[in-house]
Amino acid sequence: MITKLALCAREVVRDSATNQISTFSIFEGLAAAGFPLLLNPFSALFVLEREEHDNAEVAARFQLLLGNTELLNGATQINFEDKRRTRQMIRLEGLVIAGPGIVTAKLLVGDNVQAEYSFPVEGPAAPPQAHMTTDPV
Amino acid sequence: MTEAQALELEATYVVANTPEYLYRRLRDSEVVRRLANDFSAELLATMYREVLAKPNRTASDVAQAYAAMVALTLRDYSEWRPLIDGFEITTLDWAERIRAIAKQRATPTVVTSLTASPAKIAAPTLATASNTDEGVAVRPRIVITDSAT
Repeated sequence: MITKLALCAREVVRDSATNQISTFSIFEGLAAAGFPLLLNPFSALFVLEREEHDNAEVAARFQLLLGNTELLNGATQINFEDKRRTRQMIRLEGLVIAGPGIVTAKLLVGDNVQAEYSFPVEGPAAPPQAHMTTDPV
Repeated sequence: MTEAQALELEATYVVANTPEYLYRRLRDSEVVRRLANDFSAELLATMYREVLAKPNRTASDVAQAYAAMVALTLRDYSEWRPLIDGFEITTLDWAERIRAIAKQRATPTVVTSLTASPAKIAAPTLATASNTDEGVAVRPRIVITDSAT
């Protein structure tokens, strides 16, 4: 199985008339004003291509990590039907990020990471120290 | 389906000169999109079969059969693939071609909705600057230096 695309975004939608996928607000990196940070909605998209030896249906898991802390681990099903390509769209109604770190979305087949996407979440920068100097009296 | 919607479908059908044109026009039709949204895949398949079973089919009936077929293909591929494969297509001139176009264009899409458990959310680390009551607030510090002393 070949991963053609992996990303996380606020919204991933399929236009039923054209069967095309659109993504809105891709998470490249977030600068949070404070924590906890709520990402609502949160979506992930994986586009996969089937190789000759791959089964049409494969059990998979979606895992979401903040650094080494697991935020979510849920079952999903990769289904190629009779096609070469398939898309996995994962939707969360709200994801709370408790602190800064690297958010990693993984699509796992068994113990193997089939697809992975990461983006950093940065916290508010510590305010700079202000230095005031007075002239000698 | 209202009379106005049936008329719109019929008008699309009677001016169509190729299956490709009919498929494209029906796919873009608001009536067809509404059918796809309002009815399940099974109901659309039943609609198609019932229209085809009519003894004396009118142009409007044929248009509605094509509309039901195209509306079905706007739903998820895993839903409509087994249904459309079982369709009687020999009595509609363009049904086979439209089915082939729809299948060629299809890419399966699996949508999974998950919920993040609040219990799995780690508490904020105290070293983190935070504007909540739970974290450590980092306030601006002003250092006044008197170089004369």
